[in-house]
Amino acid sequence: MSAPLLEATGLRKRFGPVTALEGVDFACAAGEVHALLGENGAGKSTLASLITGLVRPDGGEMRWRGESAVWRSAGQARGEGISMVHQHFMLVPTLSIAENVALARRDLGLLDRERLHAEVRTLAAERRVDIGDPSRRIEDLAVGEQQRVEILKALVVPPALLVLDEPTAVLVPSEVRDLFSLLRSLVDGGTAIVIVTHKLAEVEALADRVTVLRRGRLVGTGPASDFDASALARLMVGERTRTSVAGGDAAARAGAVVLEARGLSWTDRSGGRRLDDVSLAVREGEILVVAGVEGNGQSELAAALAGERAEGLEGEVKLCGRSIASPAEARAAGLAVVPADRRRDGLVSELALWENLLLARDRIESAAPRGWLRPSEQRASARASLEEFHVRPADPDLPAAALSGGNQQRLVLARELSREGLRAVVAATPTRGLDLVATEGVHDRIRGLARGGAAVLVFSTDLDEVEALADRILVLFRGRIVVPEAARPERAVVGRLMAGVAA
Amino acid sequence: MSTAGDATRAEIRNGASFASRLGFAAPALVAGGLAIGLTALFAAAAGADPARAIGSLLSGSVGSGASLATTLLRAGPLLLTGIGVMLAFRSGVFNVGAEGQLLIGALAATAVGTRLGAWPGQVVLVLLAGAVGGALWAAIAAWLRARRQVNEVITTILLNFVALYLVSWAVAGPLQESGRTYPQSDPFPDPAMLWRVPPGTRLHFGLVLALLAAIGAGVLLSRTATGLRLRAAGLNPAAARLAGFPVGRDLLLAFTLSGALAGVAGAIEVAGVTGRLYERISTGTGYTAIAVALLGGLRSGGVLLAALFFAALATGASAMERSAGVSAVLALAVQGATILIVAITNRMSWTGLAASSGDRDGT
Amino acid sequence: MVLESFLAAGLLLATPILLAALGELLVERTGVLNIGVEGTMLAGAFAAALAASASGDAGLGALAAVGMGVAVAALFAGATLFLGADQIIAGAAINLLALGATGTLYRALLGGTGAPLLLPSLPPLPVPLLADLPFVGRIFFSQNAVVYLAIVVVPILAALLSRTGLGLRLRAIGDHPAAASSLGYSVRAHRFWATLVGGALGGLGGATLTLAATNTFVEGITAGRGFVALAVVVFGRWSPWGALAGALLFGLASALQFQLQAAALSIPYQAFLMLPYVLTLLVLVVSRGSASAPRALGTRES
Repeated sequence: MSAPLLEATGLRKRFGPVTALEGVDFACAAGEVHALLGENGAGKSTLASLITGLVRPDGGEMRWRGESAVWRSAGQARGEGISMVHQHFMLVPTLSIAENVALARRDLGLLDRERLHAEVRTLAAERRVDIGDPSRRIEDLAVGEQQRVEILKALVVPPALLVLDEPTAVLVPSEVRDLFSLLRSLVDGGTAIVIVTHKLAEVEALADRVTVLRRGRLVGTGPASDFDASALARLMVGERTRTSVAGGDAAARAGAVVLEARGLSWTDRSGGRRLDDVSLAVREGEILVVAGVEGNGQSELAAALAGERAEGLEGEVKLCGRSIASPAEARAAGLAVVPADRRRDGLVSELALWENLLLARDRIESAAPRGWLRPSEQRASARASLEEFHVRPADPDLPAAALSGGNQQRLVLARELSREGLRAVVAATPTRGLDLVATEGVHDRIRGLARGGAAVLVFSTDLDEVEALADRILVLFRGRIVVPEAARPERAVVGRLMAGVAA
Repeated sequence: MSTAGDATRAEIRNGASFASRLGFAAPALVAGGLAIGLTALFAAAAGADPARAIGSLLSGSVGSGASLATTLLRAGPLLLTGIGVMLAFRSGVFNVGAEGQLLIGALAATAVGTRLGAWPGQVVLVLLAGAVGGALWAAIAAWLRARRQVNEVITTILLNFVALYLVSWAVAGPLQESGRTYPQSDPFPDPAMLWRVPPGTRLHFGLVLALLAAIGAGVLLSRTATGLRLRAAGLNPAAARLAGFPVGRDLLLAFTLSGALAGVAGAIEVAGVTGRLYERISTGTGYTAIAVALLGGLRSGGVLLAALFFAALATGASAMERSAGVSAVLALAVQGATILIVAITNRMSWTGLAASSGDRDGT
Repeated sequence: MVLESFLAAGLLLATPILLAALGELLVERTGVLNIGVEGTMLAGAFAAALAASASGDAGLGALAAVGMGVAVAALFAGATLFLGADQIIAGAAINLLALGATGTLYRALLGGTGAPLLLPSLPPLPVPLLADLPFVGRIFFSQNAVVYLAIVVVPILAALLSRTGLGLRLRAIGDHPAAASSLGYSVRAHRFWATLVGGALGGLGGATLTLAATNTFVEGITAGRGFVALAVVVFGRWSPWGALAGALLFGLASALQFQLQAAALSIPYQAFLMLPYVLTLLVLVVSRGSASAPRALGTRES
């Protein structure tokens, strides 16, 4: 490795009672891709935040271009040539693409829209980032497009070091290839790249060096060629190994239709057709996986299936033969919902964990049949439930905000997947943010629910998950359902359908 | 980053909940001390003798049986409206219309008290009329928010003014005294007046009601399924709706309950203290209630102490004006400064509510 | 003639609310909810009265009001942005503080004699030529300087917000402070300065009450106009042009109330006093919705 551009030693960071990083060393050099690998909660994002000045370390030292550096702000780090592409995009949703780029350019005076649009088009062409019409508002863009805007922002002034946090989570395979070729051309131009990921395939495809974190500590670092995939996996998870059970054994059990959507169509306010005549049916005991890349109508379809009637929604959702007009009715009919955006729709971050476990109509009704909560009893049963789903820390009195993202997801799963009288499940990306072992656990539970007779519908963006769970696969692309020829088509076929390429 | 922000925020909230477990009394006690110091300072600035001002402030608010009674009589409506505001705010309803709801409550109570003769048990109907009046006035804003997506902060402020002019019209019109001399109603007949509790004092049953309301609201929020639903809807309406909770119905419930409490506050003022309706029946009680609720940390116990504190300050300030020549409105400045300082030192927050004040409607 | 004077009066009555609403709009677009507008206006009105009666110069009074508005806003900004106080609580506290402090000081400094205070007024400044135009000349071009200023601020603020890089930053900070801060913009500094400018406009709005509308000061002279300004911001959907429309609606309704009272119909005068509030309510009912609120409004810096 050449002289490092950035070198950090003994980094330490605590968030309240949680130690996020302890004694971590990290270095990266110009012209190479450094993969930062680890499971969720391993401290990858925290390390990335320290490097880019978003968060200040509690201890340790950082050197930038050989000199001691303390970032007071992300702005200062940016001024020194360190840019970041965030996992949760730092885009202002109410502004246009061009306006977001103008913000990154630090424009101050009068803005001539026409000229700004032309300049942003030119910039996008020069940086080889395809963003389309720059006058579109961010909130009207698909997630993949938003990411490209985020990347373009980071490249306004070509950075010396570009940090990308989980950049492929929302992309289809073909978009991942485009992203990787873009990154490679940047590296060839001498940029240093740090890519935060938990996907081993990306390390193999892209990385020159790799650093593995586990529970906030450094567990391995060196040239990528020194590690094979199984070695990396062992470092990431410790000594546990992954077992995989294929789905597809349930076709025989499938019974009557439980959850059904008929002719769902929805056009948003700006005239975009988000759902286009979607019909589907899930049978008792069956796991139907709707595969697709985010932004193709999943969140809209999931909301409709959960009983939400957005303004202008056409069509019908039926549960056990009854038409459903509100989430309350859906819940009453025995539907469990794992929303895609757990923090927005699944939790109340200020409420205690035990209270969050009651945030479903049937749960609160069975916990308080005459309207009275019995907090001590509820705390005790909450503790058991938290232990069962490995929510850490399993303290029922903590507010949900105190949990990491992965643990928040477990909390939602603990509430939704352990309910009694469950007839159907709609789960949007149920394992997002979970590590390998926890993912296995959730998959087992979902299969168990189906074996118990529940109709299960899973939205997934991850081909591994699609394969692991599906009895039957549908693909959602640009608001339309695409039905593959086979019930469980090959991986490559699903990938192509997700990308909109005719199979 | 996200995890970092979460952890810090969680830390703050843990800190806050720790502090509140230590004692909801803390802010009110701190406020009490501060208020005395600030009064001395302001009185000196306004050219009066600070020691004398403080002396009369204290003796005039809690120093004698009579002054204590006045303080308690003032605290009753403040507590009722403060609890109403607390219920609304905790449920994500920004009802700043307690003033108007109080006025309409007083108006409705007066109609029942002075226009329907006199008969045993009348006072029960008087109280009920106050509650219904306040609830209906609040229901206008609730309906506008639920059905027309109109922000309730705005509508309740506007409705406060409308209520004020309605009362002003009523005491010069349909409810004016039989003599038609002054803009005021006839006096309440005996059976329409609240029972004296304890008998022989100026104190009345309305104060007991206020205390019961404070306890009831606390129990409702922390010990019942409805309370959890209300708090969840207040903090994250999207999650509450997805949970299958009747968010729209709960919103209406919180809003009208809050209005009913303010309406009762108006009723106990006319049926317990003044015995008549005047144009100036409320001296901004409904506005002070917002400060009371916030200073009380949106918890029943805290709101109780804050209501007593504000009442004592107002009563003491009147005494101070008489004996030390300092204007009684000084009390408002002291209240404001105290709240500001307590807000800074305690970092009291309901930003969790404010953050989610966007779209939270629907059924 | 009646129509002309009615419209001219409406514009004058709209001005304090318009100024305060424009200031609050700027502040809210950066994500800060300052409900202390009422107190800011009141403090401005009082400072104007004090300075104008001491110096005999209405212009100095207006200047003092601006200074007082900035000072009150600085108190709010210091408490909320730098010392972590909640915005709603601090705003409510400032309203009480201003009401109490101006009341006490008024009695101590100005109101001792019992005689009503008579203040110098801002003189009308007819715009040469334009003031002679029929109809519009009397309505728009024979007003005082602050009225002109208020109207000029509308397009300036609109252009600032939608057509400049600075406006872009302010909007980004109001909608997604984390994104702005990730680009190195100081959320706190932008909010601080916006709050001070908002305070200056609020204070000046208060001054127009004492120096143009009534030429005197009484305790609580703002009588809820600060709250009406808050309503006008929402009514106008956080757009300066919308705020202008809202303020004019309110001003015209107030002027109409005077006209109708003067016409001595047999309707109780309270009905007229209610009119501006009821009209504003009705318009809100018809126009519905507040989807355009800044998304980080009222939240702490993140």
